[in-house]
Amino acid sequence: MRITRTIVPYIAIAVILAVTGYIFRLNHNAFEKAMVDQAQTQLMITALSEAQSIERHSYNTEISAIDTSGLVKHIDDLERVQVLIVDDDAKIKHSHYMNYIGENLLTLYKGKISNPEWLKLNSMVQKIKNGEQGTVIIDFFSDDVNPNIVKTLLAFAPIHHVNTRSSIIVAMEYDVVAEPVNKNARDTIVFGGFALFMFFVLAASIFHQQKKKADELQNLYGTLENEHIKLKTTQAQLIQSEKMGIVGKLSSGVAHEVKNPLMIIIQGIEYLKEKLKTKDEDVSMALKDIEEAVGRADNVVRGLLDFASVSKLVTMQENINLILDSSLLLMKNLLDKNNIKITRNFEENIPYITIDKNKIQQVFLNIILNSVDAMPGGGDIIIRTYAEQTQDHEKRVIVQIEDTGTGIPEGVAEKIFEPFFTTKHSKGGHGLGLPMVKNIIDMHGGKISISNRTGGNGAVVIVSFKA
Amino acid sequence: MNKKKILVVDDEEKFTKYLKLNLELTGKYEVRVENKGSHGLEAAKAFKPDLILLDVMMPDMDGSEVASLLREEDSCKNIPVVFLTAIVTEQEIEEKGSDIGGHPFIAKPINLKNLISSIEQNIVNT
Repeated sequence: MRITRTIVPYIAIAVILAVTGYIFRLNHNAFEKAMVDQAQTQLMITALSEAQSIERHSYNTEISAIDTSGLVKHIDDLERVQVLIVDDDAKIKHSHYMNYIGENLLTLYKGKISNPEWLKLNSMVQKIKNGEQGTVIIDFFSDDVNPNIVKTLLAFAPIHHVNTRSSIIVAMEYDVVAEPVNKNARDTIVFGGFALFMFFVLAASIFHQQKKKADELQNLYGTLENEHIKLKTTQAQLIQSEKMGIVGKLSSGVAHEVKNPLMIIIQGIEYLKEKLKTKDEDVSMALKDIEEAVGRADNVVRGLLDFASVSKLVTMQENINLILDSSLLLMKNLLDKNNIKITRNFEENIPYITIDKNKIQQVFLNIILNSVDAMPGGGDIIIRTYAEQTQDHEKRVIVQIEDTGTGIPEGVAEKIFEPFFTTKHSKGGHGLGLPMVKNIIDMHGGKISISNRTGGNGAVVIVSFKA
Repeated sequence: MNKKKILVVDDEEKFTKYLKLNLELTGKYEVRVENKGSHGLEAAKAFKPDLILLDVMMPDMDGSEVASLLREEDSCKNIPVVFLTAIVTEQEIEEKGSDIGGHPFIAKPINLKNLISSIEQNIVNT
């Protein structure tokens, strides 16, 4: 498409040149013919008028005595004109330059000009003999040692002389007529060629400018589009952080207000337990249930505070492999106790990424904890890290955490990041773990996805960061 | 046996009531309660406790303010203080950390066992 667009103007210019050339040639030929026609007519008029003049002034003079040198003087505007007077046998009686007198025209040129030209000459001589007038163009040879073809315009007319019948022949070189036309043509070609060249240069320059502008516009458009996307992302992040700010304030308030009554309940239970020291199992059980319930409520408040406290990042260039290792170290006891085997598949020399180490550690702890919960009878956790080049040439660092647990129940995947959505109420889950994870990843401009493993049990979490 | 004197300064009346009862049930402590920061300051001078449990967030005068005023008082500046705080988040510690000024703190809701071990640790240390 781009190549076609580039070629089109050049093809257009070539076509214009060809058409212009053709029209110019037609024009030139027509013009030359018109000039020759005009010259021939003028020659004819000259021949006729000179014939009349001779008839008038030299009526009594012998043909051989006619002074033809004076004739040309009348013909100011015709240069290089030759005048001949021949008798009815085409024998030269008078010549402008006083040469070839007494020679027969046909004998003079016999074998010296080409056959078709000879025929034309013959035809002219026949007409002269018949006392007719006319014009003809004949290619003679020049008199030089190395003869050239000299195209000659001829006009002939009879002179009704007292003694003999004779004819006047006025001749002129074709080139004398054609030269101005051809010069004009050359000038036109030079000028036209120059004009066309300039047009071509101008067109090419305009085309180049347009293309440059179009490219610039295209680039500008691309940049604008990118900026727009960035702006939208930033806006989304701003809205998100605004939301988180509100959630944060709300959570602090709620936490304070909820924690105080919880404290009273806890102290009340402690007091009752100590004071009653009852053997009544029902009373002991009731106290224990209340205590546990308060513990759960406190857990929710704590989760809410953790979730809300993610408002500020302290980022540094970090090696993600080291953060994963430290997270695993923190969980070593838990993993061992639950009979979980860890497989580390870390890419060496993984690019450093700009992240908040503590927050990202929190993310991995949460993800791994979820995996542990999903594998009550033990299992495998496979952690892989690698760097990847995306389609838009962006380098990203990927962390993939797989487990061999129960996987994600149907219909849960889309709600998994919603606050307070949990499938682990019975185990004290408050539904704030993954929302917090998502929140932290979002704040880093990263991506997270959770899905079931293809071809096997368990879930796979993929976290990616811009490198 | 000489009972240790504990001053509790917290604006939540019912909480302080049960906390006093629970601490006194151990038989090891004599407990006085104040529900206002400013009253806490006066009580510290008069009661001369061995340890003060000080709430961070109170309406009239917050815990860190009470603590810094106590430090200016010759008779009180050596009394150990343990802060009680309802909100323990990274941000909160970052903001309050300097005011709490090296004093230990316990997160609410308070587990009685933890509280007692913290009290014992801080009294013994002085």
